[in-house]
Amino acid sequence: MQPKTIKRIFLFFIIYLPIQYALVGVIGLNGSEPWPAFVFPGFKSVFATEDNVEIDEARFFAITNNDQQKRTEIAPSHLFEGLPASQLQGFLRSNFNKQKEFSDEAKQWFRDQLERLYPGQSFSSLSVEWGVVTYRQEGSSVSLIDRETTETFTISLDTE
Amino acid sequence: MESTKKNRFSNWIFNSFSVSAEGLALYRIFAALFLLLFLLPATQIYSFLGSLPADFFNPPPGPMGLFQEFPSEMVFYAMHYLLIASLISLLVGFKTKFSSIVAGVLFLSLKGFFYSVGKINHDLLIAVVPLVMAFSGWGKSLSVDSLMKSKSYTDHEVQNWPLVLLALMLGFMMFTAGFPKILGGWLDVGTQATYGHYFKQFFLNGRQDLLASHALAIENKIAWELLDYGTVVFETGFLLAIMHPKSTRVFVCLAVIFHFSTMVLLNIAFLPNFLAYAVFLNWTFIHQKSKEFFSSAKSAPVVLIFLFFGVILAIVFIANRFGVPDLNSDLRTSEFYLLLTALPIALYYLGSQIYQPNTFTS
Repeated sequence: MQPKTIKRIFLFFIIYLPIQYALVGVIGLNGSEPWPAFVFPGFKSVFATEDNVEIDEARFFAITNNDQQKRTEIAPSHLFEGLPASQLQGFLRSNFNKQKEFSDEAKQWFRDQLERLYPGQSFSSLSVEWGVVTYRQEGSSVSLIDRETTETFTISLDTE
Repeated sequence: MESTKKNRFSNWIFNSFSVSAEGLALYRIFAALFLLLFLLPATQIYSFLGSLPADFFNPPPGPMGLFQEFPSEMVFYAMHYLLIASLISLLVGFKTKFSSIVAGVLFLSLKGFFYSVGKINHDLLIAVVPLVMAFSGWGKSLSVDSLMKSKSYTDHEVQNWPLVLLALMLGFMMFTAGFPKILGGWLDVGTQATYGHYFKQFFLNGRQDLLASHALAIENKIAWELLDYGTVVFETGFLLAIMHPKSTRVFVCLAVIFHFSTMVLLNIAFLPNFLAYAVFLNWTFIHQKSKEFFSSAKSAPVVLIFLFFGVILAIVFIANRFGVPDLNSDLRTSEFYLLLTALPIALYYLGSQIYQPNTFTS
């Protein structure tokens, strides 16, 4: 490769890298981050306040198909077994951050997972509860001081 | 004035790092083995993704938007085996440039599908390293390609600018990690961001291995704030460090120490970056020294690399059997031992830069 071409490659990247970073910021405001992009995670958020630590949390409940409407809490890591732990929170934020209608195929997929976890039981819906959990640390002990539910979404498992 | 600037620019691109065909080849073998043994995607995810309905397909903006759903498990496995084939080809140096590019593109594609669940893991360097190094001539020695050529290769045919390009990319990516922290309030002395992230990893993600539980006892806010400042200065400073090869190497060493600290505290290893950090080891020096050590045997440096990975694998195997260390988070034993191995190398390198500045400067 000619030195002139190599210099042009460098000039391209010196201009391209900041531009793509700006684009990542703009696109990221309304959607997810582009791939591939020359960025590392910023971990911008500061979860800790003066005294407490506040963490977003999604809880899943399977609701039985009978009159009692019994709620069984399922850890997301069990419901979506197979997904790496490092991707779980992002997966939950992307797929369960608003009320949406899932396809029959997806409903069947949820039923298959519930059958795997609770063989023989029948469930009519899944409830997804988003909330903020507040912890306080005193010495080496930590206490949960508040759990506030901010949004709840329901996923019906009935197919058409 | 203009020509001085041009000269400086050219000097930075073409004279920052001195490389040899053997040194680059040694790094190629190291990189291929590192990718094959430790950075291949875990196959368990293929059946999970292959089973997911299209409802869960959320491709990130970019080329993945061309697809409508996840491929089947069989397609994932086909890509996986193609990737292994390209990495073996890279290892032995057969059609090296082509296999480097194929490996890079396959990593990009597979990772693109993984990140279509809605979360990107920022391990782009896995793909970028083989793609950029494809143009370095890292297949011009210790390779099938070199055996098939009638004329012998010389060091003039290898290129050092890909190392500078990788340094530029790495420095910029580090900057993108540090800059949002400034905007997000990491430098606000009233809040301790590192503590918040540590807390989240500890309680929400169950990352409670190694020294993580001991950190709960650190109540001194100044100590946590120093970690906030240290992280921001290190990450943003990386972009300036790439201007000079010596400061690049110093920052790479600091990065290893940073990742080691993150591992013991947050149980996150971020292994893919080490593939890029290793580029900046002085492989020519390692090649020469290992040859001298083993009485000039030509194959000695290659044997040394295989021995290195053999020992690591043996340690990981034994450690897994005896549960040392006892890991309950998603940190893998192999990650722990690789970072544990990288730490003394980084400290030695850092020390040599301070006490014997000329040892590794080329």
